[in-house]
Amino acid sequence: MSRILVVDDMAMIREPVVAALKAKGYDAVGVPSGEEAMAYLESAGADVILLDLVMPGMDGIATLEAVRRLPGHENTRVILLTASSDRECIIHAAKLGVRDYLLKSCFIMKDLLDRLNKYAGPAAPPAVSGGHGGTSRAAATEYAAPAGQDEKSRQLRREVTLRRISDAQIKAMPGAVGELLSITNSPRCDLSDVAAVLKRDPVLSMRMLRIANSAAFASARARIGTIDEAVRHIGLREIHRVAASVGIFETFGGGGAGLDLLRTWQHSLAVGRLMETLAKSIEGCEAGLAYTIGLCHDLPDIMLHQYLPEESAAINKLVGAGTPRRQAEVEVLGMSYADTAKHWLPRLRLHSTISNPITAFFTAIASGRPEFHGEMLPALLHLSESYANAVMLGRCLQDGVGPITKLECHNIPGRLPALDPQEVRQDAISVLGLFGEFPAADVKSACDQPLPQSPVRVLYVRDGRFADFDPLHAALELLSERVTVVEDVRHLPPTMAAFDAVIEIDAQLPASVRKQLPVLQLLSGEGKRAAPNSGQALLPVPLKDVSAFLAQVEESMAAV
Amino acid sequence: MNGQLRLQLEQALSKTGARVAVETQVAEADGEIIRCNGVDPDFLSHVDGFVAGLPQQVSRIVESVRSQDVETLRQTLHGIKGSAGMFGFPQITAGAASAESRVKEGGVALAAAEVLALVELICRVEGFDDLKVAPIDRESGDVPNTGC
Repeated sequence: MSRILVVDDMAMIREPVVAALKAKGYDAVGVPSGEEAMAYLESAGADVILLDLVMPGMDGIATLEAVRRLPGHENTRVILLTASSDRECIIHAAKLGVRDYLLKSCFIMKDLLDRLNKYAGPAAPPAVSGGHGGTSRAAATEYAAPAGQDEKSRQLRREVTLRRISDAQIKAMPGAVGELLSITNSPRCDLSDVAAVLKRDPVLSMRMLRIANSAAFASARARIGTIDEAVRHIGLREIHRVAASVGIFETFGGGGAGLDLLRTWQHSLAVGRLMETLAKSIEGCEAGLAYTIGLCHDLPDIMLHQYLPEESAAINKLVGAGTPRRQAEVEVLGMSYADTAKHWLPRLRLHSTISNPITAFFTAIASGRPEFHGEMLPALLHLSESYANAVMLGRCLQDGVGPITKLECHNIPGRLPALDPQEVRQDAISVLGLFGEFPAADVKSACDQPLPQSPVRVLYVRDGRFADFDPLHAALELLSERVTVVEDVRHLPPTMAAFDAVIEIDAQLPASVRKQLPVLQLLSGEGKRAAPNSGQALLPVPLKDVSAFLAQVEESMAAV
Repeated sequence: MNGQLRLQLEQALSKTGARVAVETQVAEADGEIIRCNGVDPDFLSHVDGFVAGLPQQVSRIVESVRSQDVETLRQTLHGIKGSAGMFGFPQITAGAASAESRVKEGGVALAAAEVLALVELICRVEGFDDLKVAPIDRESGDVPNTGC
């Protein structure tokens, strides 16, 4: 039986709680002070401590500090039961490993029992009584998603997340890397300047030599042995990309617990390459800077995995169980990933020309309205990230994909180039092994498209609200045999014989078409709901849902 | 609140320089009985005990005001804030929170109105026995220690 120690100076709180816990089958013991709690722990121990904060004499925080110093109780679960939501106290307690608190003023036993069930296991049947069952302490690294007390709990988790971000001992970027990023992002980038910076850092020099001698840059010449030769060999056109990638990988490439490092860098490299490609088509836009912004935009994700590993694992677990990612992030961190990113970025000490557009991007994403009000680089980042997700180079396949509205890219001048989704995939994957130094076998397996291409011919019906640059179109090109786009439902082809399925956005397809072909109707706009089993889905739609629809169509085609 | 208790409290508060009698009388005129308003079934059987303990809390408030013992007053208010909500008296939690906050800001004198309003609220709780409030002329050590 798990032993719960209730520490509260108020008998009128302590005694009912102890009585209720005993009635539920726990071995509950109450003490009125921190001093008595310490004496009790030394002699008898406890699995979970329910601790009041404000007590005369040794208060809750002092008790908690003493508990942590007590051998064998460094990781004992502590739940604060307090009348106070004093932020400083709660943050202090959080630093001492407390992840949960219950407010007395809205306390109900169910909240407490939910937590005890997680930390100490379920209670024994109430009829059973007896000795101390011992040591069912939950592992200190296990994350417990708080329950109940929604807004207060969320605020606490947010405070804890922010404090942990500000306390993280982030590896400083080597001076040479910062200088390299600065030089290579400048339109006046000079090869000799790059070589001079590289020579000062032996690790960067070694990496640059390896890249210059790799298959990607190899020539018939003899092996390249000096940095000057390497830089000249790679050339002005590529040097910014290589140098920025080497510097960033060298500083932040270590990954974190539970992080799919290959997938993360694959995504970052893809976004970098896409940004560079799009920037080249825009007059006055610095392609080198755009590449670095794309490459660095997901560093906050790597930081999150490195410095908040339990929370990252909890988010992944919830997402794996079907919770939408953003909801899982808010549940665990008290804020969305986009929100945390804004707080990680200043800590990375990137140059403001790199970090400002990324911050603007995440600010817009966190607000739920990706509109960038005249800022071109954040808008480009948004387009590139959406496109990378669409061509299955996202952080995960649960990320939604949709077309881009004209409003979202109204501040990007000119016409964006048409991209080949297959080429984009191959390009991003080819540099993975080069910059990330991942094993060849891993890189090879990354080449495989994670969702299959089906032999379905798709008619894709959208409308004039959407831009030509359409990530969903790119996704359909990879997932189906052929895609035909129709911009206006009034201009449908005269016959449907050339198609096997229709994917439409908010369109009012004629009933005759619906009778002929299976239809996936995608709904855009806030406040819409997809009716269950109606062939509807909300935008942005997860690619696996589109893939599942196409697989169904393929199955029915095979049956016919 | 009975006249004697109010007089005691007002006398104690007046020593701190506070002037609050008029507001208290108005509050009393508008007062209604306060009943337990929803409680966790696990604590239902303890509501009577909570109400029975309220006179002791009032005694501590009065005594700490008299002796201008800010720390004891703050702890007492803090304890009431937590426990009242747990036993289904959210108005008292709100009153105690307000008084505690004022005590933190400026000591007993600044919190006089809130303290009086809180005691008035507590005295309106159904089953509250104001005869059990300890007389003010007792030594502070005689005031029952409820462990707040």
